[in-house]
Amino acid sequence: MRPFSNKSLHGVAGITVALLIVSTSVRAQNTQGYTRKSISHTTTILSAGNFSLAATEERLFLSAINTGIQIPRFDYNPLPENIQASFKKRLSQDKHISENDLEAVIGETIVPEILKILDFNKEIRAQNLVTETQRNSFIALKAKDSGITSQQLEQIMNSSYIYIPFINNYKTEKNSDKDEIKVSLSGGLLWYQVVPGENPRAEKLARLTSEAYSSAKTDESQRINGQPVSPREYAFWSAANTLAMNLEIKTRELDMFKLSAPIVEIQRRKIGFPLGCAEGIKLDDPFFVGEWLETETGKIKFKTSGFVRVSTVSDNRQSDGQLSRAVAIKKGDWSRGMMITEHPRLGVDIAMKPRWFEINVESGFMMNTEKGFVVYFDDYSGSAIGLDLNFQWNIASLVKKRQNFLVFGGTVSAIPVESTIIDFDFDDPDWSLLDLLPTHNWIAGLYYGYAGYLKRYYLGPFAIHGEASIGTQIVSTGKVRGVDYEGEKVTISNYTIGVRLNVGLEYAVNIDWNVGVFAGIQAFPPLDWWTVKYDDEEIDIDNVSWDPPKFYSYSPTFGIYIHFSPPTLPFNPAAIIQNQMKNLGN
Amino acid sequence: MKYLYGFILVFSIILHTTFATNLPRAREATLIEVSSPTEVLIKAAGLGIDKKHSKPKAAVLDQSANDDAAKTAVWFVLIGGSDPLIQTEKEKVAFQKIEEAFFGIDNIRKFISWEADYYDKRLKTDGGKSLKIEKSFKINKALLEEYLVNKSVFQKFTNISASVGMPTIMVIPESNNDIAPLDLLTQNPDIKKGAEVIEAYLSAKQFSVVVPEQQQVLQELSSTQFALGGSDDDYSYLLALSIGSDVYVSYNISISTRIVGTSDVKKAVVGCRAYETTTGRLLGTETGYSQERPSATNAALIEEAMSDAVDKVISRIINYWKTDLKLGIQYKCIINVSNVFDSEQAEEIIFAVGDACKSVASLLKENTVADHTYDISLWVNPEKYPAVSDIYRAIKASYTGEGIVKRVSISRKLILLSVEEE
Repeated sequence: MRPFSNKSLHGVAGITVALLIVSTSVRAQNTQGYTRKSISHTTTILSAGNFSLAATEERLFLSAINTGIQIPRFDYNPLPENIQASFKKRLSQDKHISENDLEAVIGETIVPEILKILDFNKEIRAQNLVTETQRNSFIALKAKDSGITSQQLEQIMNSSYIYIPFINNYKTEKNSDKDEIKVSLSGGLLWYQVVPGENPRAEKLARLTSEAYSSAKTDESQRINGQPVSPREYAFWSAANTLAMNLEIKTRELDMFKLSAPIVEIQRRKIGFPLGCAEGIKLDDPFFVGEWLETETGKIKFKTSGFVRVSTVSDNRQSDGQLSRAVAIKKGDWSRGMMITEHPRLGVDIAMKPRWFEINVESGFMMNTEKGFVVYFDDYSGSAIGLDLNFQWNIASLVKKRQNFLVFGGTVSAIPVESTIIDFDFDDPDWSLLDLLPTHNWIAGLYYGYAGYLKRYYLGPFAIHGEASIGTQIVSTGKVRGVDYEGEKVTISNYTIGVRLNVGLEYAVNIDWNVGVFAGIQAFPPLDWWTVKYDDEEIDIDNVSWDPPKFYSYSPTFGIYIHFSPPTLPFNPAAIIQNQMKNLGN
Repeated sequence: MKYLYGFILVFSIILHTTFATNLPRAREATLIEVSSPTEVLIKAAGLGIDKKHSKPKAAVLDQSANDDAAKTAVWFVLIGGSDPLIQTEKEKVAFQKIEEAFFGIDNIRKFISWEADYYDKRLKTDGGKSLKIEKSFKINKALLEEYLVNKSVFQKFTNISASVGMPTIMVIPESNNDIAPLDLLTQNPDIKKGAEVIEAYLSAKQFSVVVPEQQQVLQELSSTQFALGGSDDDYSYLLALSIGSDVYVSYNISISTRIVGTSDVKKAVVGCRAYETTTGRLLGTETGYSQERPSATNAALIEEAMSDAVDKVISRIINYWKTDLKLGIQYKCIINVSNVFDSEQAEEIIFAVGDACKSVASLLKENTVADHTYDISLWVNPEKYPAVSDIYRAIKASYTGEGIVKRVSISRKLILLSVEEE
């Protein structure tokens, strides 16, 4: 890990403007679609903060980042160890190197080696650049030549990039009550373009940053790739993968790396286009459809008119000519020759669903002599309003079917039911005589946590979905011990397990947002399963009462559905699986 | 009022005729390569419009642009570019009569042997009302020529040459004085490849091709040189004369190399010239270039470059032949007057020989008139004088001057005569 000057942060605005200018001109000339780029990276992490990484953490971070950024649209130029060592040695000579200084060091140490690798591979890689017309030229047909020209070799030599990861914030926080360690990580990538010629050098192109959080249980053993690791390392690994996923999306958003292709054919709402596994597209990937338009002032701009989602991914790694397909979600007036451009997303949607349902409470007592509680719940039978928050993880590329999601989420609600707590836990140091006074609550917390499966069918901009999930229902009441309400917070909860089935009708407002309505049923039978939670520490307890309160819900439910596809997420529990398995399923 | 109606009617007809035309709109195209003797690869622009809908439909614009690009590609081969198929005024006038029907898209598609799936460029213009595209097409030139012959735009080539045979063309490499062209042909594979490509093109175009073979021609060459009085004209010219080709094509090849990274990339440049044999007049010259390529063999590069050049040169030869044949067959005729005659007598003899030649030729051009030498080009009606010896006989018979006309040497294009004392 190498120290890195924070002065470089001041250059961000300027770089972004320069990047926009460069990328706009690149896009303006791009009517043929994406051309592969060559990528290199080092085993160096730059640090721009007052922290240090252990060797294992460095290794884990690099592994996560390199897995995240090594996507199929790139050709890789692995740098030999001696070159890496030379680069690291140069960095170690300057403790506070800036981004601009870094350009010079890369230019001196790494660029010559990259050029050698490019030189070695240029003819093979240039074959990807041979145009359709060249493949039908005399030289290819009659002379059986590959049709490569020197311009294409030069294009290969001119399309190489290098990235260097950096971390500018790394914090860990241990929560003993919860037996949990939290990691917050902030970092990014510095992208440089290799410029060959008489004066080979590297030129800075972009600075991408992101943040990530993760946590791990300290009382559980963790493993990474079969090797035991500490909880801190595991949380770090999870955060690094979240960061890597975010940086991958941001890299794909850079115009020079963004996939695009012409539409070759249109059949009703389906289009065919020449991208596939070789470029790493996946089922359900969203693409904008648009065309280049000359405005009245003579400027040329890309005008979008709708969007599609990939429905079939062709295997174009071996032969040309196979088209992938995508289905129009919002269709404009399209014709062949128009372009599709990638809209990079994580593949995790966030859905919010305000919903109505019924909940029933049958009065009764819960008593636990060990912890010294008696809890009484009154009767209630009626409506509740809750707010669902779902994470919908697209698993289409794993199951090879479109619009398949694993759903993880929860509902927050409340029941207007009276409950009384009598606390006689004399052994607890926080307990006082005042705690013998019954505590009355007029509202009980109601929570659901669930996991399930969602399948969506698009019919143009409309979609219907079906969702099945199993989950837990939690009804909670509680009190705060002590006279001044600054004591221990005690929460007593009843758990039950049930199922939910929903169907919904959605409308795609745009490429990222769907809105709609849904209806369904939920069935959560009563269970005599209780816990007590002291602040963050939760313990299972037994009920010794012969007539416990019953909480159940056999109810229809309906509500409003809104989902959003975020480009990045600071917290993504699925990141490890997404990042490590993203290249599967093609 | 009736004048107003009449005016409206005429205006409507003109308007309809103007806007309903089948003719291409974009008319921007470039020749990418001559793929084979019968096919050319053209990148053509197409301008798509939609007059049926107030807000143009994308599919209509696309189809319209595609059709227009296809028409433009064929138009380029036919009329555009530096060496179009249609060149003479007569052909242009004949074509104008059929161009509306010709540029019907169904007809145009007959001449397209391949077209690209992808556009090289695609841009909505005019605030989205029109669509401009660029894409590549392979046009079958031979089919196009055949179609136009059938439509009487072109005179059938076999008709032109029926009475006189196809023009005979000799192919020979250019050389400096150090090495003879015939040696170059046998020793240098690149030069030999160049000759083969030209010969392949000429054969495909049904020309008679003469490949000079060392043993066959040397003797004739020597005798021609001797007959021309030790002329120091260039070797190719003499060879063509001795062989008796109507036209000879000379060429040179150079292959340049540079380094990209550590790879040698090569590019072939060929120069190709066509000459009228009898006078050595340059009919056309073109330079062809191959792409700069890293792995291709010299032969492939030469063929690529030569294809680029030779197609254009051949079109010049065809045009020359069409024009020249109207006058008849061309011969070079050199008459030497014996030294036994003094200058005054020789002058009279040359006048008399000139008169005799004029009586035979439909056109006579004097190249050189010296004291004892008369060098002329003759165009002779092939139907009247099918063989060279017929011309000699007619000149001899028509000659009324002093002395007698004797044959020194007669080849397919060269008549060497002398006037001797009786």
